[in-house]
Amino acid sequence: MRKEDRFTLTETARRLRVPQHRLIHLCEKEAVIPDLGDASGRGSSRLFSRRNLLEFAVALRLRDMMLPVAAIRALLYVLRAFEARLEQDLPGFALPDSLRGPRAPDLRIVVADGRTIFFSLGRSGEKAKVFGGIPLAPLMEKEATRGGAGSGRVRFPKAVRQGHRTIRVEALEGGRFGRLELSVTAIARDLALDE
Amino acid sequence: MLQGKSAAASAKRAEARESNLDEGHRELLDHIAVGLAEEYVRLMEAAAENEARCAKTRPMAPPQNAGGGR
Repeated sequence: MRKEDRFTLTETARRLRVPQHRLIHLCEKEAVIPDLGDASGRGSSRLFSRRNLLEFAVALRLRDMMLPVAAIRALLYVLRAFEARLEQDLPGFALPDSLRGPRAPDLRIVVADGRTIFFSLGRSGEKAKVFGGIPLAPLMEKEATRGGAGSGRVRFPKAVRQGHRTIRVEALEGGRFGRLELSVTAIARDLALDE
Repeated sequence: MLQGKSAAASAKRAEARESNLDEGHRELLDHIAVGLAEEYVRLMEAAAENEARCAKTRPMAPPQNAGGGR
């Protein structure tokens, strides 16, 4: 790995134009886990990868949209799993760089009615395919039981456990009450990586 | 050696993140990630095919000075 692909906390905060405490909070909540070194011992410091920078940028935007950290942690898990799968299918695929290319499709996170989270993927100007949804309520329950009483086990509705094919996407398309959208592709393109 | 240590540490950190997720929850998230990855591959292949088709049908541009410039 090139030296310029490792970022200290100070450098990351500078590139993302945010105070360091916001990044530390996301690390302590284990939403973003430093790829190249954690602040686990005396004198050790966090070191972040290019992927971590994308994770921070997405997480910060979602926090600005008032999404709870528990939900952000789950969404960043999906991004990691998405990348891991594509590394097998498309050699050389890596986040955020592969999303910065001119041919990269638009990957979006959609929060429908403040209750359910979806991902969408498509080319601009074309109808995107929708994947999800992840209900927010069980994530919040899980967060409430973290480190406290109870097993912390979350039961999702059957339709949700069975995956995206069973989800009624028309509820999203119709936007019964409202929705928030965040383009991960746009965030990746906007990252100040190579200064 | 250093690379091996780094990979092990990275795996440990990924494990830590996963331990925060319920099993049923992780199953759903993995399922979404696989669906997204398959769609991504399909879109990239379609884009490559489209580009190849356009390149074949695109007429050759005439040389800039064709037509007898001075």
